[in-house]
Amino acid sequence: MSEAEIRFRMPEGVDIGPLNIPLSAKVHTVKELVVAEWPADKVGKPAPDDPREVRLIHNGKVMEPGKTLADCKVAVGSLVTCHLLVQPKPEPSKGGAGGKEKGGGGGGGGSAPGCGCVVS
Amino acid sequence: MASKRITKELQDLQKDPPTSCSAGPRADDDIFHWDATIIGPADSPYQGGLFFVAIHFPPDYPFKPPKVNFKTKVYHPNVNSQGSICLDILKEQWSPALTISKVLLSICSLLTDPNPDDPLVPEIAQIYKTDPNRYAELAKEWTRKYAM
Amino acid sequence: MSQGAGTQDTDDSDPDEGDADYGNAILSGVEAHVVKREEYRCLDAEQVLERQREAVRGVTQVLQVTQDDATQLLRAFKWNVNRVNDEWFGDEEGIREKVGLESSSSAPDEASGMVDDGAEVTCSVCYDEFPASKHTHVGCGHNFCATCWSGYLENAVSDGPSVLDLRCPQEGCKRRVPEPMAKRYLKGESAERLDVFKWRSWVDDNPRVKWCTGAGCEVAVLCHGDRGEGPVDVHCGCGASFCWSCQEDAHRPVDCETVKKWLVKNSAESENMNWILANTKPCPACKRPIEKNLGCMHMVCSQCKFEFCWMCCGKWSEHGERTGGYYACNKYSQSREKEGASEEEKRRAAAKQSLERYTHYYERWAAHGASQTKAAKDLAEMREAKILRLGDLQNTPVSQLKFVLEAMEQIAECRRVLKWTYGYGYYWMEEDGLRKKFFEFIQGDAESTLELLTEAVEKDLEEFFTEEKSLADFADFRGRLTGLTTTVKKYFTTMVTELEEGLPGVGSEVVRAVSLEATPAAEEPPKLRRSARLA
Repeated sequence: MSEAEIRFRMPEGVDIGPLNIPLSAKVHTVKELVVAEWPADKVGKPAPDDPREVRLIHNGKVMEPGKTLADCKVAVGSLVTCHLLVQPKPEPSKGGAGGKEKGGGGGGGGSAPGCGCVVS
Repeated sequence: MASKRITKELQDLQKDPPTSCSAGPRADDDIFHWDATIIGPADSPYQGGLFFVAIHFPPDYPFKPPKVNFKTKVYHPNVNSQGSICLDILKEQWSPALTISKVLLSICSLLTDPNPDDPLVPEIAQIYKTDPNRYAELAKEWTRKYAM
Repeated sequence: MSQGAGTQDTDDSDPDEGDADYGNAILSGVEAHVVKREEYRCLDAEQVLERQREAVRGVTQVLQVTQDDATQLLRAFKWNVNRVNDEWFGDEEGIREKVGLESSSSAPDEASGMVDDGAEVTCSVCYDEFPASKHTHVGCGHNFCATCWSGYLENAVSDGPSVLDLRCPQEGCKRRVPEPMAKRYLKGESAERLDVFKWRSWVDDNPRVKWCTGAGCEVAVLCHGDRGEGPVDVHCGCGASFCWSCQEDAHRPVDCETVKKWLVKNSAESENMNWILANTKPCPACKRPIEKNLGCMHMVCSQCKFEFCWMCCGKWSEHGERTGGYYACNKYSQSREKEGASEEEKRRAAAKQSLERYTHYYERWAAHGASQTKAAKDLAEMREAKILRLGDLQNTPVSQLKFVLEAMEQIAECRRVLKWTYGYGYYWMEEDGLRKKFFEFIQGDAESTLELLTEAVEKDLEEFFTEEKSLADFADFRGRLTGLTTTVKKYFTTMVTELEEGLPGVGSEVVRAVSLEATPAAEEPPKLRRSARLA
């Protein structure tokens, strides 16, 4: 079973890891591993209660919870860097906007309402 | 020549990426189209937001600048509703020695420090200049709505 | 009073451009056009190059810089030699930096990290390694490999003349890529393009020179001093006639802005106009369809011999001063508002009236335009073939027959002017009143005068090809045609001047012939020439 060597870069400028994780691991598992290694003192914030609040990004794409590292095209053999962002879940009253796992690729954001500007 | 250079940039990026930017090709077989993410800078109303960005490298890259667009809605004087970004290094100030990494970092700077004197959306620039608190509120609200 | 063309401005140091007589030229109104100095000068490629070389020579000597640097400085200051000198001696370092020349201080650039010749460096464009040398940077120490220099320069050449301003690829570095360096890395074809950009820059970057608009014509037109503000009709040797200021077809007496408005309106209305303007009109008497194939407005139905005016289909005998009346069909009068019409009817009537009014002016504009085109074609045909035949028939050398060509040139020019008077009338003669009456009077007069000349050429001259005529007849004809041409030319020139003045003569004895209605004139057309008014 091949393993990837991954470090997780936080917006605060601190790196978690590197951790050795098998390619077959699911993303939600990886999140749990990351939370377990949370460097609370270095970062000045405690680990999130729910690992699902952690969003992992690799090569510009969000890593979807149901996928494996292999699905996300994580490479073996050299040190891989993933980015990490904590987005707390919104209050239940808010309709559908936050906390969703957005798909990979440029899927995010609503479409712009009818602005006809053309930019080259 | 372009793909050789883009590949080299990708390698450098993967080895040691900037803190708040992640980028890579959308598909394995097309190195000219990339997806990227920018994490909202901490000292800005975009903090905590995840912004998606599309990058297209022209065939004569790096002699022509890459085309970079926000895919996530942003409330910012220099970004319009189509996601187009008004940034000098993406236009006349482009240099072949610049990299996509530097471009993404410049965009992060732009988020922290908008340039209202060269606005793409005059209405937002106006609010930014005359009522900065309201601007910050709106920017935060859009970040909550679209980037989280 | 317009003063002489740029004596202060020595960027075209032509010795025979003295201004002594220029001020004196603008005195007597009618004769002014005869004495006026040339407003513009046409230059071919050789002359352009020569003037460019002269400017560069001057700057090179005075500033003690290289030719390449001098060219760049001149380009930066729009080929104004005086300005280059002023700015340079005002702030040399600042100018050097702005234009991208090396600093005047002899100390080598320290911060750039100059490396030794031959040292292996990494190209920050392709990340390959290569040996640095004096040929891999532009004096700033930012080294790039030969392949990337080529790529950078080739890409810049394909972008266009902006390559002349090309700077070092390093971000933030303003040092210019000098020509020898550029030539070193460019392929032959691209290097040639660079040369073309360079000599064309004397025109492209120079506010006082513009390219002739004629297709394929490489003539540059230099316009003197302050002439460039109002319309300046340029007639180039290639046959093109255009306005120097706005690049449209020559359009005096109308100002450039009005011309633009009119052309935009025409294209917006073009669908309506296509529907309205048929190629054929029925003869007013016998109703058979008639196709107009001559420039003249005086039509004779080939079937029933009825004579009428093409424009208004009225009887020809009711036109022209021969019957003592006006040339009635050029007049436009608004229909009176119906008493008691409802709001809706009034609005519809107003819209209809507006379209009718526009149609009146557009039809006539287009008709004279078509005649102008035809006149130009006839002129070309005459020049190339017919005049030789005429020479044979009349046993006269072609050099003696110039009067025919001059007459035909005059006709084409008059059609052009008349065409534009309708554009003028649409915008500047909205209110019925004294001014409008006078305008239509002189316009009608011009039209009828022109018809005389046109008939002389289209009909009388033709007879010399088809019938037996004596030499005395021809001499007679020559005298008549020459006289007519001169009269028409004078008349039209006066009219153009008056229209550009905004009809200042209105109100004086000149309009006694016109019946007066004491309505004040509405908006005034822009005054285009501050030349003398008619007393």
